[in-house]
Formats: sequence, C-alpha cells, structure tokens
Amino acid sequence: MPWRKVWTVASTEFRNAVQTKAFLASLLMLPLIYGLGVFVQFFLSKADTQTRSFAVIDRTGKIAAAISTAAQSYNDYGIYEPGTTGADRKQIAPRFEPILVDSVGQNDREMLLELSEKVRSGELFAFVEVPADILDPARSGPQAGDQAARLRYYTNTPTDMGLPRWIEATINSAVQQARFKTEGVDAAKVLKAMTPVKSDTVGLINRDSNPVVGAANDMGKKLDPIRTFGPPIALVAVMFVTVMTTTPQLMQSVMEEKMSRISEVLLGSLSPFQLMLGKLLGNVGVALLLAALYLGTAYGVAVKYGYGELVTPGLLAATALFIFLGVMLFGSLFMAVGAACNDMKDAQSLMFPVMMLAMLPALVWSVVLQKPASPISVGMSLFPPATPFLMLMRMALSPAPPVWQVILGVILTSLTVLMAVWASAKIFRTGLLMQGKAPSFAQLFRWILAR
Amino acid sequence: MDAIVLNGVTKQFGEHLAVDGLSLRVPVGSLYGFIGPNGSGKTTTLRMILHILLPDSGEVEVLGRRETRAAQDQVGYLPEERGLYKRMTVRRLLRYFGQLKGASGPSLDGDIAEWLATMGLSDWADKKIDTLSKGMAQKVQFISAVISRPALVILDEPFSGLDPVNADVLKDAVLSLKRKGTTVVFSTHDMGVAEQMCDRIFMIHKGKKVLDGTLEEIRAHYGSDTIRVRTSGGAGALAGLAGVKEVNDLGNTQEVRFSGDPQALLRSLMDRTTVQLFEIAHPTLHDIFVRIAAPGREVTTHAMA
Repeated sequence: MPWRKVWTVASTEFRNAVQTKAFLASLLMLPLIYGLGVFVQFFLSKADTQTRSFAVIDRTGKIAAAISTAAQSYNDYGIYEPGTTGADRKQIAPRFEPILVDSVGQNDREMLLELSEKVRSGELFAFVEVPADILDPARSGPQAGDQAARLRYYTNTPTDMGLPRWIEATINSAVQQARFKTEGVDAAKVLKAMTPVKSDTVGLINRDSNPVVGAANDMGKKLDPIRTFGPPIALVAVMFVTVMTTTPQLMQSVMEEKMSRISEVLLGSLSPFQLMLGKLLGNVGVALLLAALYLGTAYGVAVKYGYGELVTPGLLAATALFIFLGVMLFGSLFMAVGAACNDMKDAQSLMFPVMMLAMLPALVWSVVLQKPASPISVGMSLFPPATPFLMLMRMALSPAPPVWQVILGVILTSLTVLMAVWASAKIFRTGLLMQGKAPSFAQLFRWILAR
Repeated sequence: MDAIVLNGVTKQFGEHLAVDGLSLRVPVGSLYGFIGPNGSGKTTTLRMILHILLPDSGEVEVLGRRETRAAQDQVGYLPEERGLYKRMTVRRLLRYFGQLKGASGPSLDGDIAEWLATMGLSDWADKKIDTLSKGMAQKVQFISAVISRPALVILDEPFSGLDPVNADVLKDAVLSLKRKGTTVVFSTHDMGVAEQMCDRIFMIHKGKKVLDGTLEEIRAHYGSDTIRVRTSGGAGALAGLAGVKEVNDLGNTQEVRFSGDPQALLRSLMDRTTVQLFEIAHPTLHDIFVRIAAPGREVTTHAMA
C-alpha cells in the first residue's frame, strides 16, 4: 500500500483541521476553562457573608432563648476563618440573626402569611416553627415513630442548607439538654463520653516502605480527594473533549466531499481504505495535539499545587494510546455515517447509534470511579467502544486493573477499530457515489458485504 | 497501442442495466468524444475506466494495465459535477491533488505556476477557492485534473457552463494536451464542439454503443439519404410522397429521410407546390444524435399517411 498517499491525506487533513474555527475555539476553551476555575475559586473564597435574619415561632416557649444564645456564640466565634483573631479576623460565613415571634393570641394562618410575605420581600431569609410538643418525650422521642413532632422550616431558597442545618442542630441540642434534665442525667458527662473519633483514608503500603515506628507517613500515604479522583476524571474528560471535538468533524468533511463530488476525484486517485486511514491519522494528530495542550496545562497547574507526581509517564503513554484508539474507532464510525448521508437531516438519525456508543462511558463512569474492580466496571472497560475511556480511567484509579485486562482491552479495541475502518471504507466507497435517500441499516449492511 | 480497451463491459445497478456489453478502443494520442443522451451510461463508463466502479462482467484495460488502480496515477479526471475544497487556497488545493497522483516537489510547483498563468489565474494562486467565480473554479478544477501530467485525461462535460471566452481557453488547453501526446477523452452534449475537436466520436445510448468512428465515417454511414427542403407548402406538401421515410419538421425547413431518386422527389414536389430550397445534405452530428436518441418523437409527429 503506498503510504505516501496516506501521509498526503493525513497531513492535509491535519492542516485543514488545525486551521478551522472549531479548533481555534477548542484552544480558546483552555484559558476560558481555567479562567472560569479561577473565577469560581475567587467566589468560593469570597464567601457569602450576607446576614441571615430569620423568625422563630417558638410554641414551647423554652427553645427560643437557647437559639438566641447559640446564635450569639456562633456570630462571635463560628463565622470567622480559623486562625485569624482580633480586628484582622476574616468573616467567611453569614451571621445568623434570630427574631422571636410571639405567637400567643395570634391567628396562625395570618401570622404564617405575614412571615411568608416578609421572606418574599427579602426582609427575612426564612422562618422556623417549633411545635409545642417537641419537648414531650412521648411526642418527639423514639417511641413516637412516624407521628413524631417535627420542626417546620419555611423558605424560598430550599437549596441553601447552611441555616436550616444550623437551626436543626441547635434545636436538637436544646431538646437533648431538656431530655437529659428530665431523665436526671448529667449532660456534660454524656457529651464527653460521646465525642466522636475521626478517621483518615490512606493508601496501601509497599514492601519498601520504611516501617519506622512513629513515622506515620511511611505507613501509607494519607489520601485526599484530589489525589484519588483528580487524575481519572481529568484524563477521561480530556479523552472525551479530544475525541468528541475531532471525530464529528470527520463526518462533516466526508459529507462535504460527497456533496461537492470531490470524493469522485479522490477515489480516482487512491483507494477508499487509504483515504479513510489518511483522514483518521490526520485527526489522531489533531486530537493528540489538543490533548498535549490540555494535559500540559493541567500538569502545570498540578505541579503548582504540589500534585506533580500524579502524572506518570506510563499514564501519559496510555492516554496517547487510548486517544489513538478512540479517534480511530469513533472517527471511522462518524465517517461511515457521513458517507451514507446526503445532508445533516439524514445524518441525525444515523448518528444516533454512534452517539449512544459515545455516551455509554459517560453513563457508567461514576460506577467505575467508585468501584473500579467491580464486575460491571471490568465488563464495561472491556467493551471496545468504551475501553479507551473506561480502561484509562481504571488505570488512573486504585486498584489498577491487572495487566492482562489492559492488554485484552487494547487487543479487542484494535480489532474493533480494524473492522470499523474496513466496514466504513466499504460504506464510503458505495455511499459516495450514491445520491438520493439515505440508506437503511439493512442497506448499509449489504454495502459492507458487497464486493 | 490503445490507451483504453473495453471488452464486453456490463454494469448493472439493481434492475437498471447501465452499460450493456460495451466494447471500445481508444488509441493513444487521440482526442475521443463521448456523446449520448442523459442517463445513457456515459458517466458509468467513464467511472469504470477510472476504476471508481468495477464492471459486473467484461474487461477494462487502461494504458495496458488490467489490475484495478494500477494505472490510476497516470489518469487525470474532471468529473461532471464540480467540487473543490472551499476553504483551501488554489495553490494548496492543486498541490494536494497533484500529490495524490504521485507528483511532488519543485516540478509540481512549477507546473502549478505555469498552468495558472495559462489560465490567467496567477493572481488568484493564494486566494481561497470560495472567493473564485464559477468559471475560475472550473478552470482550477481542470488544472487539478491535468496537474500531475497524466498520460490519459478524462473530462466529463469540460466546457459546460462556461462563457465563450473561458470555453475557448479550455479548448486550447485540451488541444495543447493532445499536441503533447496526451490521450484525451471527453464527454459533451455540444455536438458542434465534438465535430470541431474530436478525432473520433463514440455514442452510447441505453448502455449500448451506437456510434464509433471518425466524423467522416459516421456521416458517410448516415450518408446522403437526407434532403433538406423549403417549400411554400410546408411539411404537408411532403405527405404521401413515394420514398419518403421520415420528415423532421424544423419549422421553415424540413429534413427528409428519403430512399430512391432525389430527382423524382423534386419533380413530385414541384408538381404540388413552389420549391424554395432543395438540398441533398450530409446529416450533422446533431441530426444523427437526434435520430438515434429520439426515435419516438419522429414516429409520433411525422408518421406518414
């Protein structure tokens, strides 16, 4: 096979793709994404410190005071960044300002309506109703079951969980204190006895770890979420972006060649297989370039924050290999769709199964992330269209997949790629000269088997 | 030596027999015209010569090679429906098509510059294709077919849609290719162009060869049975005359296919009406084409009583 022609097609395809607006856009995405990250960081660090005023309808008449005391102490100590003191201390959480409502002699409905209006107008953030029987062990204790008395927190921002959690915890502690008193138990002793123990998640140790007594670091490295979830998510995201920004373009380019009849000239110059291969390799080049830029930037960020050692040469090599396989597989499928169709409308329906295959890893990746060695994770990562994404993800996770699984996945995917390229070349050859209505799947199958 | 040999070539698409047992020889260095009505199998034949399509049966030999694609780099092709990459520049596009045919390096760049100059497109070399006018794009596409110096050039309707000036530029280019020894096959609907330029003419109708030879041979075959007349009686004056086989009514004149003594026909006509013109004519290629391709029309409109 004259590789020179494959090379000519690949280099031209690469240059054409790199000069498109879509490619420039995906490059611009980089600073945009990181810019957005910085922006979000800034807003996260510049915490919401707007004071939360809320009304308390205390029908027990005994809880309100506890809430006021707790709010006072919280506003004095709980809303500042730990470690900062005095005038320099930095507020990182909103102040809580309880307003007590005297419910005695009021019409319940009128009162709730009035408070609701105040929340709507922004005068109040929320209000809470404490039922009268909350302190009654028979009504709120374990024996009350489903009938237990409950707090009612009224709000129009139910997603803001800070205040309701604090109210719940504060009232619970007040209720507990009251129950201790009723039962004649020393509250301080109980709380002391109930102080919880904290835990750290650490990685497994190796034989060459230094078992020096007391050197906690050598007995397994403390794991944090960035270390565990960062690499797999980042790598799979890069895979998705590079494969999905480059391969649908192949469909467009084949459709353009078909519609403008360039394909006829091309087929008069080289075989469909050479043409397919050239186009695929050109796009592999584009995808690898994109991935290098994305991962390079990510690496820079990782090094800056002390996570540089997470990026290993082996993982980078695996990423390159799986990007190659992913672009080849989805590229040939998209090209086959382009070759079979005459316009975008036809393409939509034929694209559906390809898109389904592409979405598959996205549907199961959270399962793989949490249970990388479970049967479904292993099975899905060996299913060729998902292998480039999921096997890569498993390789970046702990426990890493056994070598035989990686090799089997690569072999299965390579065979699928060869088959897809071959079948697509057949559809390409027949479809390019066909005009008119888009073929059915049965017709496509016949084209593949045709001479 | 023949540049193209077709031997009993047949191609069927589903129920439709596109090309039916076609045999043809195109000698090296000749300028061969393919004519035929739309849908007669011209483009299918050209595609089989290019190995874009494979025949169901029969043999296709191009430049002495029978294997698929063996001679591909030696054959230039201009398809009927034009299309170029819109966002490439003229120079890059020509370089790409040249490289796909195996040309490369400085000689390719030199040829590109030379062809662009010949076609008056030098100023457009680094412009994008979608900035070109239709005529310019067609000339660029012609260059793309010949840029790799092929031994055989196949042009499907090369002159259609061009203004007379550009058409002449392309005709000169085709003739200059022929002078350099390139074999050129082109299809056309313009019988005048075929008569004017081609060494040999081939006509295909309903997948079968119906004409093949030099213009003289073809005309001689359809010979002197055509008589052109203009009378004050019009087509009606010809009705019922002995020896008249068909009348092609062109309005003011009628073309008569006649067997027998033309003098006898003239005498009979003079008895009936005033004769303004009476000419024993060779049929034009146009007449022959129409006679073959539209038999239905003649039969229905000129059935003799």
